[in-house]
Amino acid sequence: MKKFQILGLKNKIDLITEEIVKNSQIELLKKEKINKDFKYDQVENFYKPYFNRLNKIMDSLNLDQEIKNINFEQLNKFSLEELEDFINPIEKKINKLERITKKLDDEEKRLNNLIRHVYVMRNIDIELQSLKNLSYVTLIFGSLSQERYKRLIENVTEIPILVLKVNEDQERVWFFTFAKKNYQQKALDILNSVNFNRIELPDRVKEQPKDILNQSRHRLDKIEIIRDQIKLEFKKLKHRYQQHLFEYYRQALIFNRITDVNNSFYGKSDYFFITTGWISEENETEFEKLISNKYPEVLYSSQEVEFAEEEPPTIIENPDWIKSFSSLVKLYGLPKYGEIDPSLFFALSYILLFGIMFGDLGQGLIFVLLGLAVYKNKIKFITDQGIGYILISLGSSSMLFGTFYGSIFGMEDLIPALLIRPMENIMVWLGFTVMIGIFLLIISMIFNLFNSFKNKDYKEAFFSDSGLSGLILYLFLLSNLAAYGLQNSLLIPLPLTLAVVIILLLLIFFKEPLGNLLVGKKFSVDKKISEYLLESIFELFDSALGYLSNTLSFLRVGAFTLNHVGLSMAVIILSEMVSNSAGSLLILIAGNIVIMVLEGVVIGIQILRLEFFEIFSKFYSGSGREFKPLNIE
Amino acid sequence: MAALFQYPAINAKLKALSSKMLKEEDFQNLIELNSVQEAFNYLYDNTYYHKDLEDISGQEIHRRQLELNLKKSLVFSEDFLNKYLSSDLKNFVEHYFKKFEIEDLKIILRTILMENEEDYLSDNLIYIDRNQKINFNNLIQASSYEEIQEVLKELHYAEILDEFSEQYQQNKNLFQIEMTLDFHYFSRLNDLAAEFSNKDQKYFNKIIGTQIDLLNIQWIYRIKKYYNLSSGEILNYIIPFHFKITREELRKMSQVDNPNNLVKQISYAPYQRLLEKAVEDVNNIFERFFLNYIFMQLQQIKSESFFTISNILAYLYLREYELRDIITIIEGIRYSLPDDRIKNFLIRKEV
Repeated sequence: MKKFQILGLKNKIDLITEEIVKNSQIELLKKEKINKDFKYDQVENFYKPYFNRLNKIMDSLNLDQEIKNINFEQLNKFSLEELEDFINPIEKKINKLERITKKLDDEEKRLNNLIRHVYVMRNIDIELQSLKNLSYVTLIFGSLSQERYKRLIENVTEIPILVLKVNEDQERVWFFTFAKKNYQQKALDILNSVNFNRIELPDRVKEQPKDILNQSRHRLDKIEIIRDQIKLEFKKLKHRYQQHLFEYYRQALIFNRITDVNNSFYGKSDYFFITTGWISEENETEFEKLISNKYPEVLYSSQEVEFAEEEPPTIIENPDWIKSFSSLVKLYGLPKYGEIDPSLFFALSYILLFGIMFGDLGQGLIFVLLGLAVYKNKIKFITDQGIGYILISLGSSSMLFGTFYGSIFGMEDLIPALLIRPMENIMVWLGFTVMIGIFLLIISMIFNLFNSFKNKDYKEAFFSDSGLSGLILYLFLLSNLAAYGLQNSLLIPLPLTLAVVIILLLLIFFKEPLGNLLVGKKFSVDKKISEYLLESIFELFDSALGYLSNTLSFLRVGAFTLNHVGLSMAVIILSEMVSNSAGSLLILIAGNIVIMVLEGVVIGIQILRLEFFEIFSKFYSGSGREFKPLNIE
Repeated sequence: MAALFQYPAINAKLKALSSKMLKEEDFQNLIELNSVQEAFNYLYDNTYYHKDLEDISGQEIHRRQLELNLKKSLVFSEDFLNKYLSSDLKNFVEHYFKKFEIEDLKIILRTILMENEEDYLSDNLIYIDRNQKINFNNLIQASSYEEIQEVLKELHYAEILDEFSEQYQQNKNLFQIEMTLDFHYFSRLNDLAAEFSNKDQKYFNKIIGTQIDLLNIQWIYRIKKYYNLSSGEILNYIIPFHFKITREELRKMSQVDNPNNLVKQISYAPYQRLLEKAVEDVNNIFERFFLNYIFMQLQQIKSESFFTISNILAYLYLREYELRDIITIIEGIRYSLPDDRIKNFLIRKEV
């Protein structure tokens, strides 16, 4: 990853941005501090309103705004007048159609409201018109939301008006309000304060309620017909302008984006512009060549930078099936620049551990099938294909270990065990899983060595508890333990053993000052000495304990294998207790589902725990930031 | 039982943060400064606002910019709070912060529809740009009610805006919209608090209930003094919750003729005293009396209980009041008020 600057004359600014966006593998930095002499002035984006209008038109016409694969060919800057001339007539037509639709909506709403009101009176033989012009009483028709209606009823105690509910549904209430003529204004004021929706009777209603009902329904039908015609009009418009729209849209999109980028990432002086960003080394050679050939008067420079100061972003590239696991890694954090991306290691160890803990040929097969279903988009509510990948790989691993253990749907006696039956060799099995743990721990310490050497962090590499000293200490302790267990004697005499251990512990203890010594500083610490000692004592205690607890933590892997067998046994015993075969099959199936869900989740979490606490803490800081290249979106 | 696990982590964190808040002497020092630049330097060098002011350090400081950064520091606390909260509390706190969004929304409506002062929006909005559902640039470039509606259509206030759009076109009046937004905010907050344990509800009432009571009193007082609305209208407009005032009292208050008689309708003695003092003191800002009352309550509440929501609420309110005082001081300095007068505007100054 390299940091680059581009400096050029202002009239080239759009072209350079175009190249950057086109490249789509360059990250620009916002308002870098070094460019203090340049101002971050905003230029008005003339394309924005046009772009927004085009967007709206596309929305109204139901056209997809495909911007994934926009090509940059034939960008001939059209004049804004030309654009205006194109947009304006379409917009006018659409606006007209939308205005009509709105009117129809309103009319429909009004009619529906009216029906609600008049429906109660359908059996009364009076002319509604006569209600409108009473001499002493005013009649107001209206509707309100339920909640507001309640409030109105509570608060309207002071004025002599009568509120009568005539109809309601879940959300709204329709009501009449009667008020004495001289209180009409007061009544309206209070109704307005709850923002009621007044429903006016049609102007010339001579008829009786049931005639009004019929009439309204008839008009509703008519509205439907007009709506269909409008739809047709929209389709016509779409057909006619589609091609041109896409072309203008593409250009407006690109120019709009370019201006936005100019505004947010570029420093400008009277004649120059400057910008900085990150670019990968492979990409750079080509990009630099392109810039220097095409725009000889634009200056491009780049430099390697100190990681510690600048924190470059990390490009994360993995094949699809690992990507789904790396979303789990992201829960912990993104790899720092120059740090090993643990996704592959994580994925492999996760799959391995899952298989060991959940070895079952039948249940594994079901996971695989489920995964395939997700992958092929057969299951509607899971759209993330990554879940498919995870299920398939975990399921396959589970199937593999199922054949090793001879276990299918929890039944241990149907197929022969290829390798071992864990339940019958418990101690061997637990020992084996601890070995796997040791193996994983050693690998993660080696990763740490690799990371620290790569980043030239020699303090961490040589003296930390998961660095070289730590690794030697761990291996030394393990081999002594093994020797003692096998031959009942230590590798080297006890005093010597103790001496080695203590020396290694001291190295870890004095990590800070020793590290300083390595980089040519004095043997001293930056903090207060008492503080440092106290901290180090605890840390040392913690890491010594950590070797033990981290290792033993992997016992859970074996324990869950046994747990799985145990649960299966329980299900089988239950199913055998039922006398009829249909019942026992049912219990077998239900039991298997319970095991798959319950154990699947528990084991998934347990492995995550092992990875995060035991393994990642050894080598993975997860404090990185993802590389976010600029693109057209 | 759940509270035992829910609160200790966040409350411990809040205790630590509270200890960094500004002391009396900080306010004294600030008041004695002579320019906005000095105030900035003081805050930057001596207080926890340091990191929020980082990005404008080294420039010439403008009052608006400084205030904006300070205000934003308050809304940023949402992020760290979220890390410590369980999901239902998270919901509550998330909604609590919506009050800043609503304030932003009011500013937007007023500025775009009434005043249209350039750059005012980007200098004064503190929260709404955090909302991912909004295109902020489109929002501040909007120029009509419809355009605002369009940008905000993903928010749940969209309903309110839709409901009033017709009415707004007719009378160009934002009053009802603003009232409805507040109403909406407090109803939702109240609904969320209804799920709380009894103890939490007690503190919710003590803090937010008191605030609602005082807001309502203030409202009725102002309506009585400056407008002529009927009792029913007043009751429809105020926030329909009450804590130490009864419904009946609210009704009676809505019916009095002379604003000075409001006191007689309130039976809760502390409110009585408060309102009496506030009405008498014509020179001062009415609101400050109420804020000071809540401020005093908070001082007590903040160390009362470790296993309830009280600490979170107290922290949020105290941070906000601290901020308001700092901003008052900065404005006082900017307009060269004498020190004593600035002091009289502070929430923390005893009434």
